[in-house]
Amino acid sequence: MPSDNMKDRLKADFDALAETLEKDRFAEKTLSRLNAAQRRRLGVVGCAGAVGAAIAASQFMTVVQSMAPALTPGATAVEPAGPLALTLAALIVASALTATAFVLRQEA
Amino acid sequence: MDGTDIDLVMRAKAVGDDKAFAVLVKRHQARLRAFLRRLCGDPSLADDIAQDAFLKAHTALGSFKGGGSFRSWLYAIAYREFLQASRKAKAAMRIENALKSATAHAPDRDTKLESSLSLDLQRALGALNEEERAAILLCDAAGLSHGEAAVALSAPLGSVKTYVARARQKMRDALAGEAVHKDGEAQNASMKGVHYAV
Repeated sequence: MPSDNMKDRLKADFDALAETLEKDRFAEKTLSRLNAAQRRRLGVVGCAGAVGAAIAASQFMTVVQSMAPALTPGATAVEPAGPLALTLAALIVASALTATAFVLRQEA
Repeated sequence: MDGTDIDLVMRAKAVGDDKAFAVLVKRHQARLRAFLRRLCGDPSLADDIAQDAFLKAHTALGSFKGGGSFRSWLYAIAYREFLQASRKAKAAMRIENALKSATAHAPDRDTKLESSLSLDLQRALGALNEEERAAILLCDAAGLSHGEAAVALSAPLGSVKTYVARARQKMRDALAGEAVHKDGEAQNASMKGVHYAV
């Protein structure tokens, strides 16, 4: 009766298909895609870090001046930034946050 | 690199050893893809799902607690990916077409692989719903235990046993129907032969 060996046929077909699939380059392709994704993630993290570091560095003198004015006797009072500079700074911070959120979302 | 799945997962988690994860990919890719190919009937879609499943498994490796087998955890990710893909209208259409008319067009390299599954089995599998098809493929074809299949399908153990039993019965009925149909056709053909001979 053909239906009696249904389980054996299903298993035999599955094993034969798996054996065939063992021989192609799927694993290599998957691993190279994985490496590319990791490199991309590292790049995004690196960029976000660099932007953050640049912002921190640009604010360093202001922070030191406000915390310990004695350490920066020669520094002149900082002019308030114009709206263009503030918008630009906000955009940079927003893009750094977006990039970090993107990476964290991938990690989740 | 040798070691059990759990050893490799621990190594990949603890020191970010990508070689350990590569061994896991090489060890499980063929059977996972075979499962997905038989589940959705579309080789390229199945491979896409398998690849996404491995990428997701890599990023989610930290959440693998080691309570069950790595294999069932991986199949669970792949099955979720399959369900998401099948919900997308286009993918669902491709799956349906592939299951219903797998032999209607000229075979290319991939369909030659698929055609190793005989037409009657293919039809019988295609007639099952997603849970039943997945359950019978995991338990009867891929060799997972009912417990592992329950993890993979994110379903209670009792439900998985029911899916498997129902799927086996449906497939037996379908195959028996095919056999009767073939016998009927053979009888008709021989009668026609007699008629023409006369």
